[in-house]
Amino acid sequence: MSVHGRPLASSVLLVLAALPAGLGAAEPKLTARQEQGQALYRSTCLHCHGERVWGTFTLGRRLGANNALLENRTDLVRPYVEAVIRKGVGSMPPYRRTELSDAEVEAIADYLSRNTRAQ
Amino acid sequence: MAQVLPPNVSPERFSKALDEFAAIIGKEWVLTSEEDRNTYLDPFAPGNADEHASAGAIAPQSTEEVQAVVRVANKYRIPLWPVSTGRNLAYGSAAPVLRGTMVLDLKRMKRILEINEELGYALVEPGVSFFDLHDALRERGDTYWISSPAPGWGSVIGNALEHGVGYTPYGVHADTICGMEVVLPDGDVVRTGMGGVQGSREWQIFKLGYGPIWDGAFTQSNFGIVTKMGVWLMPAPGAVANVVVSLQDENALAPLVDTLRPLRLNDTINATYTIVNPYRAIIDDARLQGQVRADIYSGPGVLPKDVIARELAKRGKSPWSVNFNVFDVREAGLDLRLEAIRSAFGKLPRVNIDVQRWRAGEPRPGWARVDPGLFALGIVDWYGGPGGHMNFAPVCAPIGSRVVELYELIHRRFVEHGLDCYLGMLNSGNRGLILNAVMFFNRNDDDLTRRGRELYARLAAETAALGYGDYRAHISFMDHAAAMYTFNDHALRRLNERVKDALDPNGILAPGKQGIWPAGLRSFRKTGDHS
Ligand SMILES: Cc1cc2nc3c(=O)[nH]c(=O)nc-3n(C[C@H](O)[C@H](O)[C@H](O)COP(=O)(O)OP(=O)(O)OC[C@H]3O[C@@H](n4cnc5c(N)ncnc54)[C@H](O)[C@@H]3O)c2cc1C
Ligand code: HEC
Repeated sequence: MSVHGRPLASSVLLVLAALPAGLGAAEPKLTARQEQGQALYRSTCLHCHGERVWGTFTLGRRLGANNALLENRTDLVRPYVEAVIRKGVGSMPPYRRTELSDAEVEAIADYLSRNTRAQ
Repeated sequence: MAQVLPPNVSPERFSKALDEFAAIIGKEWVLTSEEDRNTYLDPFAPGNADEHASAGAIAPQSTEEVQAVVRVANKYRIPLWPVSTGRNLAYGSAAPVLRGTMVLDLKRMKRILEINEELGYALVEPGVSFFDLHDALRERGDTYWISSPAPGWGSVIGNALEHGVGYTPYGVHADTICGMEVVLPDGDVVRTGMGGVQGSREWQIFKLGYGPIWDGAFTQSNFGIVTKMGVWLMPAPGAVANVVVSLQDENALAPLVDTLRPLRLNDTINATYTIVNPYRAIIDDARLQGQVRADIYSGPGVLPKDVIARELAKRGKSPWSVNFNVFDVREAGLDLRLEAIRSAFGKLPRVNIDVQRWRAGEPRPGWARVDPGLFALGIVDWYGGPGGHMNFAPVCAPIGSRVVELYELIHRRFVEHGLDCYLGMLNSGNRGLILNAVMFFNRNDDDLTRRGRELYARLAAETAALGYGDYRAHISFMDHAAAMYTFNDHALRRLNERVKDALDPNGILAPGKQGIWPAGLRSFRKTGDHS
């Protein structure tokens, strides 16, 4: 049923602590919506997309280590992120409208696509 | 995809019902678009998810709205499948047993109505997740700890109703329930236990009430929709230890079980333990490092013996181990417990005992398994994604010889069906042991998935003949699991269905859940009986 009893980053706080140091420091200031997206991303998605956890491992295998951490990506476009959240991908289950509103999904997509040029 | 309708309901009738639902809760919360309906399919379906497709979802926000929705459902004979957070992964997620049932999604009812720090309980609505309750307690300084299943996005209510398990002394979640508010299948609303007294302030502190104890009857059942539930919380301990006992001997299972039994019975070990078999030791470790099966072995059949031996050695694991946490109010108490544990396990051959400790004031360590997460779900990709799993989980007394006999049968059948036998044994309370045998599959591999389904059906029939029953089942196998309860020609199922028909004459609430079918829909029952 579960992966038991290992000293793992099981809380959000620990996962957050595992983010690369200085991430975001050199980035342009986030818009209000991107900030909302960032907060949602970190509370909702990071459990599987932080360092050395499931989503990151799977994406690393598929796209290479440099593209494994979603927050560092420069090629994610908004409609793709929105589609993944609503439809799921691989073993990532979709999110329902009762879990994340359309506005929340857009905010997350806005945040993850902030470093992508020419959308 | 074509429209999915409830059985015996015409498109016109269905559309009228949807209009009435919308009039109650607002059009935006009647979710019938294809995109929305797909989010209620089982993402880890062991076969064709469409077999359990819903006709859509309805998402009310209050008890009154639930009552009104239920009345309309009766009027139009629309079956409803209530879910709290609908993350029941490995058991069907939010999908119903009967195709065309509408999901009653209670996620929007997510208030924590009370946290009582004097008495150690919370009163919550269905949409409250383990993350939510954890965060609320953290804000109050962690004076109480939750007991969470491995995935944290599930519902405090939904998980307890399903007889879920956590890893603290409060780990039998159904035992922590105290008092419910329930909407009955005819729309009436009832409060159980002391909640039956108008104005009672004792609803969450006394389980027995007066008369029959109904809380249990609303768990793993289709007799009502739980809209509020009291849950007892564990006062923060003063000291906790994590113990891992590893045994190099391949035949260590029986002595391990027999050593654990008295320690658990007298509460020296006072939380859920997990006995880990060789496959599980390897697979857990591999997945933690992001490895999949093909990184270790890609030949035919299950992992061969030499690969198992090699991988165990490489990873510093042993064929058998048990892992648990011990809790006490103070360190001196923990010392006494650990002394007894070391002395008992120290008598076994080729044993290694690892202990880590925590004391109040230190940050809570991951091994305490109290802070909820989601990473554990990654185990489903063992055969490479997109993955999933089902569980076959019979209950067995913790008597070494009996456990070994049952384990060996399960293991043999896994090998015959060509599935790696990932198995953990979890105690439920002081006396029960659940042998949780996990069938992983890759959803693109029809043959593997089919073998998993056949294996489940075979194990259910064979172990029932030996006198065992499963404790929980995937929506595709609820009839098989119910059929294991054979005494007096399935008298228990007859009782359940008599109650069902009395409470739900129109058969609108979760038809087929736990193998309980209403009179009008019994022809949908899937399986013959094992007697
Ligand atoms: C890798 C992995 C590890 C897991 N580990 C664990 C574990 O450690 N412990 C554990 O217990 N489980 C575990 N699970 C199983 C499952 O994910 C959890 O039990 C989860 O909490 C159940 O889903 P939920 O809480 O969202 O409940 P829901 O999906 O909301 O509810 C489950 C069912 O209960 C009934 N129900 C729910 N709410 C109501 C209501 N209000 N009124 C009437 N009936 C209702 C419905 O039939 C519903 O389908 C694991 C699963 C996976 C895949
Ligand atoms: C339960 C674990 C889990 C959670 C929670 C989760 N994901 Fe994922 N996600 C995965 C996995 C696993 C993959 C890889 C799927 C694959 O490629 O097979 C993935 C892949 C993705 C991808 C695809 C990237 C690409 O380049 O193809 C995006 C985008 C994504 N996730 C966004 C999110 C967002 C946004 C959230 C939160 C709203 C989220 N995920 C929550 C597990 C998760």
